[in-house]
Amino acid sequence: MSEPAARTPTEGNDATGDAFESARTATYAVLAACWREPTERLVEVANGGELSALFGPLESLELHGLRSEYARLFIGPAGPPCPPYESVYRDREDDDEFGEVLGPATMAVERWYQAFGVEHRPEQRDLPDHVATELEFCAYLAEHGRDDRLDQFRDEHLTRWVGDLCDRVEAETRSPFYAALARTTREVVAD
Amino acid sequence: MSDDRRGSKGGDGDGVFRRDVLKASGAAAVALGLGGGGYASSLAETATEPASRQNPGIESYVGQDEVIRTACAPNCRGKCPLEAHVRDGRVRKIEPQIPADERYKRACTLGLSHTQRIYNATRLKYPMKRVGWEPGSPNPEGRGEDAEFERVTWDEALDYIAGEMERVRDDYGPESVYFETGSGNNGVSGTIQSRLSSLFGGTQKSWSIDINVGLGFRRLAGAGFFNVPTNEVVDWRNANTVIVWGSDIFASNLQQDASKLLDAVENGAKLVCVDPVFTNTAAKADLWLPIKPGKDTLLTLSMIKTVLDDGTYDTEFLRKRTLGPALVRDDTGELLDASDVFDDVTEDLPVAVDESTGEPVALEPETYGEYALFGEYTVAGVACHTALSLLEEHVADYDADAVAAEVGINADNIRTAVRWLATRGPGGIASGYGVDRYKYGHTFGQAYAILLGLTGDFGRHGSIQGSHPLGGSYDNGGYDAPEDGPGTTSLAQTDILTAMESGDPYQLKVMYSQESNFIANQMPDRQRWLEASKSLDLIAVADMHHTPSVQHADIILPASHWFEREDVVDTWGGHPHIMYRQPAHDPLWESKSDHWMLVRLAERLGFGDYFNRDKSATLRELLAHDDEVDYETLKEQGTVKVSTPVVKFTGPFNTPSGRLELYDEDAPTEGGITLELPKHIESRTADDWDTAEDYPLMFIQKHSKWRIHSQYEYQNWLREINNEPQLDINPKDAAARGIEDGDYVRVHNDRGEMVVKAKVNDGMQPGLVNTDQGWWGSDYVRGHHNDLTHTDVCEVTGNFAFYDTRVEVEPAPSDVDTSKYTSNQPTGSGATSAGAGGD
Repeated sequence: MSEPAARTPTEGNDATGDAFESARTATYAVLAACWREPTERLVEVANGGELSALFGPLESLELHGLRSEYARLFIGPAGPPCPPYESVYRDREDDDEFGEVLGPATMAVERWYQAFGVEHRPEQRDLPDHVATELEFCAYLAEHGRDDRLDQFRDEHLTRWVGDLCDRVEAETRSPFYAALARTTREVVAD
Repeated sequence: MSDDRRGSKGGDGDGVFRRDVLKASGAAAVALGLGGGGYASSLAETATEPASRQNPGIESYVGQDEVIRTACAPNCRGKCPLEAHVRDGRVRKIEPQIPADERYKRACTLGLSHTQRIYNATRLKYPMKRVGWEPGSPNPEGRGEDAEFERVTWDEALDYIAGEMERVRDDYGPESVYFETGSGNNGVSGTIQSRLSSLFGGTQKSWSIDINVGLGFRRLAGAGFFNVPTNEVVDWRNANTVIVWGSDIFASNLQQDASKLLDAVENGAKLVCVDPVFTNTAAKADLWLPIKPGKDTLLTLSMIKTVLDDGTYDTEFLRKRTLGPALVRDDTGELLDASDVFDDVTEDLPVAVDESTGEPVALEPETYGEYALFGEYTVAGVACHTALSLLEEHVADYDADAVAAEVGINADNIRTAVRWLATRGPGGIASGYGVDRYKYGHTFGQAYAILLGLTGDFGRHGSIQGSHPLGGSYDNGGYDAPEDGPGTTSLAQTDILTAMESGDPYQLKVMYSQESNFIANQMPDRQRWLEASKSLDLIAVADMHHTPSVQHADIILPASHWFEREDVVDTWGGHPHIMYRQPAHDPLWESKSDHWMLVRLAERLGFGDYFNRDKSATLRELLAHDDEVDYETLKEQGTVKVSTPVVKFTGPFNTPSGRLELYDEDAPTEGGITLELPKHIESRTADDWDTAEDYPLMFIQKHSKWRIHSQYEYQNWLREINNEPQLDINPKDAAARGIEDGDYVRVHNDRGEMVVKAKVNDGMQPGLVNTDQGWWGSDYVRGHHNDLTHTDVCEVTGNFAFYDTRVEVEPAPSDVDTSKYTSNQPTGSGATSAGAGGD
């Protein structure tokens, strides 16, 4: 892999107007944000209709319920039924089990980050191969015009497991938002 | 966006995500504040030069592994010293560590599978609060299977707990706060919790589990609680006969004890196994005595009779170290007191008769004399019998032939076993925790202490009195009970239950639980505990995993794995070491050590000055008072061997007479029956028990080799072998009920039920069924093994009698939903349903 572009995520474009280098950057950035724990802002934006282009029409969201559903699907305490980590799907010995976290796939993802001059923030207590973080990295590559590398990263990682994750989310969720997020993410990753 | 977007699955269209969608996402991104790099919440520019530039190409790992020293934790009592191989900051392999005494280099399949616990996706990740719980509005009905949780910050979680503890202290008194700790770990967390409880004035429990046999033994020998102290296990190789009694050492003590037992066998020992089940240990024994459940004391009485009849008792030992020759007054049943016989004796000493002179003499501890072991004597005008004569009379009806049918063992085999013990030199009885779980198990402790007294198997190399070698602890200088606090009130677990139910002896209102899965899984009559706990305004549970007890919590505190903690570990006597744990890496997600949590809780409660956030400093302080172990040496070496006697029960016994009290003049009673000598008392195992017709099968819950209590729930490697709870049932009992191997069956009694898969198993005797203990509620198709057990305990020890349980078994109803084991659910996921892990 080649070294990263000089720019860093924190000194990117303006937050206003035509803020993104590319629609791809924005798409991955939005998806990454949606796979994180729901925020008040996410609910406002969704309820303002600004996510409908990506997800289709959505019923009105309510933050408390959305956070509970997010915890149930992705955090626990039970399960969770849809662990959002790559190694769980890729580093398993059988298809009928969940693998460990922080496996070889996680290390491979971290090497990608490293090669492009970014790292998982130590204060961020979630794991480096969380689906949101991998999507965030895609946004980063897109923003820096590394579409070739973005395609490669997607082929080596996201396409290998995000379909499984999205299948589980669609089967498990009681929330149209997460069903829509799963559908859209599957399409974007496969595109 | 139009509806045609929906339903189009990725990859099956033209492969090009619609451009207008991509374009539209720009506005959404701006609205979400993701511009200007705002999307990068997890990734940051690397401060240092990328490693790929420093070291391009294929990386070599030679020499890059770090090997750290740590130790296993769960309570199989093995406490094996372990090494963790760490590469790229992750534990990749677990191996046995060679401790200071390398004979204790051991580890088992469970210990080696720790990577699957540390890196399990089901670990608890963040502090959480039950939706619907608020301070002052606990909504206890919302607990349980359907409870939902939301994330909170650590500050919020600890503020909630401290706030409730202070409120409850003001309203009900500090003892209303119950600090619960289980046996899930053995670092310093229990000590830290005790310190906080002591300063606060809270309640902690004393055990009502595993103390039955030990306390029965203790009445005679002055030692015993959790089982009975015995010689250090490396000394077992000197035993010539080992009777393993109610313990499947080769399954549930794979760690240290199993290897040392094999050493004894290799060295020529006869191995006898007394167990109602044909266990792993029975299969390896020279002689298996397939005892019927609950007949252990009866069998022991017949063994005592055999030794007395054969005259193979150890006369020297009986004279020097026991009350065998002591005179017992015919009129009162008390020991004749030397002060009533001799004018010049004021001490409270027993009296014997010297056979050579025919004169009475005061019995001193550890003193040999030609004392008469048997006979009737009148001394100082008082008619007496020797204690051994009373024993002889007491066991007169228990000839092996007479009891054979009732205990279920061939009489010759009874005699053979005890003759090996009595005539082959040193040996003993390695009792386990099986007999503890019958209501009157303490009478077995009393009975076999007498048997070992007859055979002289105390205080010499090769003696075995139980399974707890003791040793392996350190002096913490009273850290757990500082003098300037009000102190902890101790309640037996049986009283914890009534305190929650009825405020007797006082009301409990808050429970802070760590390393414990008691309340919703491991306690007998589980539904009673769950109902009782509704009186609590707050249940806070710290754990690594989503146990059933975690599902019943109001506040969930994610605890780190042991390998993520710096810690000092004692061994509960499994082997004579203190061990050090070097952390392999930071705890994953937001999990924290119990020390971290308790210190911050203490700070909120105003006790911050008594604790140190710095774990290393805390450990140094804890070890500062010990003469043998210091923090620096321990950290450098990984283990320090501490001195502990290899041979136990040397010197005077810790009893009023200083002797083994074969006759217990201060004996307690059970239902009006006094126990100066051990009596065969039965509860539900009796054939004429009043529910015997409705519930004809006895139900035990063995320890298996795939779990330690309720731990190791989600390991894939273990689940591949042992995926679901089953009912072991004899082929005859199965056939009589129309049950075939692999059928789902309903096991029920007047308290509850469970539905499990039947395992038709010749190793079970007719009339006895088993489900291995430790399975979680979510593992059962329906019910739970502890919905069948009860809380009826004996008067003497108050020990829970899990095995003293009757059930009936029938084919499961046809509408039972077994899909959790038949549909395609990932194994080990803990994700079979939203409420997985609940009840």
